[in-house]
Amino acid sequence: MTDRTVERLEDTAWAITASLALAGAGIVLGSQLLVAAATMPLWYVAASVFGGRQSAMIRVHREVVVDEDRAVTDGGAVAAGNDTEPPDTTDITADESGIVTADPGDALTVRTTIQNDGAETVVDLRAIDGVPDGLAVEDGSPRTCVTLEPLDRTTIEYTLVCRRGKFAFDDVTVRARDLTGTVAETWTTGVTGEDVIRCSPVVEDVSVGEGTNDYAGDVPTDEGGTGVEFYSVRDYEPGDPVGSIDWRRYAASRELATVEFRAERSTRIVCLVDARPSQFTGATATAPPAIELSATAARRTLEALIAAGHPTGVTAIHDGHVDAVSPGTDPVTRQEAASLLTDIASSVSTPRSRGDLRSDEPIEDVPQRLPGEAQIYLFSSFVDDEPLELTKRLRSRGYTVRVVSPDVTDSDDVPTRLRAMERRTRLARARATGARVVDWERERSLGLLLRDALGEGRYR
Amino acid sequence: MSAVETRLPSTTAWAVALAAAFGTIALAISRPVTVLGAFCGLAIAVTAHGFSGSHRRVALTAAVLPVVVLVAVGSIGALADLAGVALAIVGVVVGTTTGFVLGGHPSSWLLERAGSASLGASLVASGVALVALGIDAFDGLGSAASMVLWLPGSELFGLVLTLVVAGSAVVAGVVAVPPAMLTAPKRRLAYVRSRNALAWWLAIGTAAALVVLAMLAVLTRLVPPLAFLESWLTGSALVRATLVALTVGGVVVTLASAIVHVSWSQTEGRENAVVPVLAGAGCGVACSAILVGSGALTSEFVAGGASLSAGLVGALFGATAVVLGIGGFLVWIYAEERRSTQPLETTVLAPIALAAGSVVVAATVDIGDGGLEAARGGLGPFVALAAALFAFDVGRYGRALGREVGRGGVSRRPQLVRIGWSGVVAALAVPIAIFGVVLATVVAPTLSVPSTAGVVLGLCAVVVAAWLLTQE
Repeated sequence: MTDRTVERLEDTAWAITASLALAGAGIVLGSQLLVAAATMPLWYVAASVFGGRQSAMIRVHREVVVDEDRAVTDGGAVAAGNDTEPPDTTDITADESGIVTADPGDALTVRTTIQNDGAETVVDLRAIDGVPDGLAVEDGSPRTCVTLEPLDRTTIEYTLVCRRGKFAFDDVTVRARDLTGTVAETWTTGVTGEDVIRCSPVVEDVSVGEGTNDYAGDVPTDEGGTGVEFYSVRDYEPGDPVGSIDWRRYAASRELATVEFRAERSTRIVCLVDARPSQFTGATATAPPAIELSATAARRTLEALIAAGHPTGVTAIHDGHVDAVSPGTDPVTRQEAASLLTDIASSVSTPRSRGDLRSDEPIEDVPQRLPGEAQIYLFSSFVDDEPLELTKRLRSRGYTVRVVSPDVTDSDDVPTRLRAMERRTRLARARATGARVVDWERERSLGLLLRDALGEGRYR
Repeated sequence: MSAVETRLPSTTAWAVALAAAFGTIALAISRPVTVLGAFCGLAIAVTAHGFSGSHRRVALTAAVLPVVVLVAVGSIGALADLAGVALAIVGVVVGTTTGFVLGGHPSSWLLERAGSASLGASLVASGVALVALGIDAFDGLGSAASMVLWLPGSELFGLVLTLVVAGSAVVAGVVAVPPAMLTAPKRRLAYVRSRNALAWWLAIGTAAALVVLAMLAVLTRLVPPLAFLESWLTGSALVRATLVALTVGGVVVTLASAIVHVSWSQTEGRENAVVPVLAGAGCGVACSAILVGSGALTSEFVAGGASLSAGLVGALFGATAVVLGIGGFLVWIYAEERRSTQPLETTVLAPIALAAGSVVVAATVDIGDGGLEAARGGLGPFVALAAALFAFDVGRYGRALGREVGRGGVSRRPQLVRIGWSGVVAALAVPIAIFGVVLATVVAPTLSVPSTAGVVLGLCAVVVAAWLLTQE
């Protein structure tokens, strides 16, 4: 809590001016009515004399609810999802960590309860919640002006749209004015409850698709070989390992047959992020832009794949050059890829020391520079034709392509509806090339989307 | 605490509106025309908000605006004396400002549309006034029309001159129309070719007509029986009227097209409503002129049943044109100012206008020999002044509240507390002022105006001293 600033609002000059003007007009015009009327503004001056400092004592508690029905805090506390009643007086305590986690694009309902702990009624109490810088208020207002009786309380409720990052609430700024409105006391006060929002979730697992190379690994394929999962039984051929002969069948029919298991190969994965200027658009002015959503999805995919042991890299397509981090599982690769995705999310196009490729036509050049037999995860909003062209080129070169496309055309105006129609057409054409396409609508959780849509294993 | 919005919170806005209503009624005790002015002001405020939305709505609003102003000017001019006109203006200001306080202040682009409509209507109303004054000067519509038709001369040269002017006006009108008014961008070149061809054909047609007239003049000298044809052409009122109509139409289209062209070339956004604004304003004034001219509107609403001469119509439309022109110009300047800098606090205009009205009433009211008559005379201006002080104080509070908190986060109770406090102070001031003026008149001339002023100054000194003592 900061020191309280008491200021007397010197705003009675208008009344004195009006009084003198009326008195002057009365004298000039010889009107007793005007001279008598000159006394009237003076009563406002006299009334301001009664103004005095109002020593208010308040207590503030804040709770943050994610998506109205779930609020997960690191300390294990779960905020009431649909509980619109403010917590009981005795419940106004901080939880252990005060950190709320959420996904980018989630709506966070913030309820800040202010209680008058003093013995006097606060006639005019104004409070502004310390909304974190970088988060936009989508609905409601973080400000209030109320009259609070002793032990009475009020709740400020508003909705924030979450972006990737860690955001801390500031203290609440409070101003109390007396009845006459001439004396104001301003201070900031600390808040119990949640005070930090962390928006950097991870995906538990993202299964990989069918693109593999000839090295042994742990990606199941659609071919027989060495592995652990039964694949088929075929006629014996000279040279087959003795251990793979189906001896039961031989005992029954005296015919040699070889049991094949599903071959497991290694794979490399490239998260291809469309970071061209066309991706800077968001669904609304307050919604995160497509590039931020793509970078978030790519980061979560990257973390999950590397954690599963798959060499994974990142390639960012800018307007005029390409930033790339080669697939790998080592900490350096992981750090560089994460750094590249952070730069993409914050719309920074910085040439990197490693993997910066100058290109006038990045859409044409990227397929030639990708590692062979890799799986491609393409993150793009498909608001123009370039990603579709890129998908076609990748498919023509035999790459397995999965598309995650954040929808930034979710609006009702006619131009946006036309753009949405064009985008759906592009996605349909991308599907027609054989790519697996996931249309990421705003209201769908990214974690669920990646688990449900990309989490299916495919075999070669 | 950063700025949020300057619009008054709802409860405070209604309190200011009620105070404005009380003040207006108090002033209306002396001059009932104040209420009429207030209603006209409210109508203007409502009309200003009509400039948003579809182009049809904008055109309708632009048509209604000059009608409202015309009715206001006519009514106030017919019913009020000088003080009444002043109080009616006070009422218009109070009504307009109150409308803005309740319905929200129009944005700068809305004000620009309103200003454009007002200026356009002023232009058309000026034309109507000139026509009416011309009719009055020439003793009737027929003689005035005859004068216009035969102004270039009744000989062949007059016909030639009229034909040249009409042809030039029509060609200018055809060329001046912006292509975007009539065609899509992809057909612009084809349209321009067609337009230029039409303009050339019109010019050639005019030239051909001139050649025919010249040949007719020569042939008439050689073949006297053809003189009847020349005399018919030069003396035909139908021919002259057609040419004059073409001239007027060409000039109007040229002017309107030039205004539209300039406006379109200066627009920054995708929306530009200059066409519906001009069309609506023109139609509104034209319809008003027709109605007033036919006497339908005049006898019932404007002149209180008095017969209406062309001169009076001219004066009415002239005054309306002046009001529309000055008002439109001020609104336009304010809109430009509002776009570039912090908007003016227009909500203070209502209390200032009420205070000015109370000064007018107090200066003109007769308090007789004092006593109860003085109290009765002082009641109106005192109540109006108290309402002005209340509206100013509460409006100031509401603006600060809007800046610090915004309309959405303010609950009703603190506003009601503050409104109650300010109301008590204002209500307390009225009986004391009445008591003071009664006392002053009873003991007059002992307590003359200078003496009363001395008492006021003494009271001021006491208040200031008390205030200084309470400073921390």
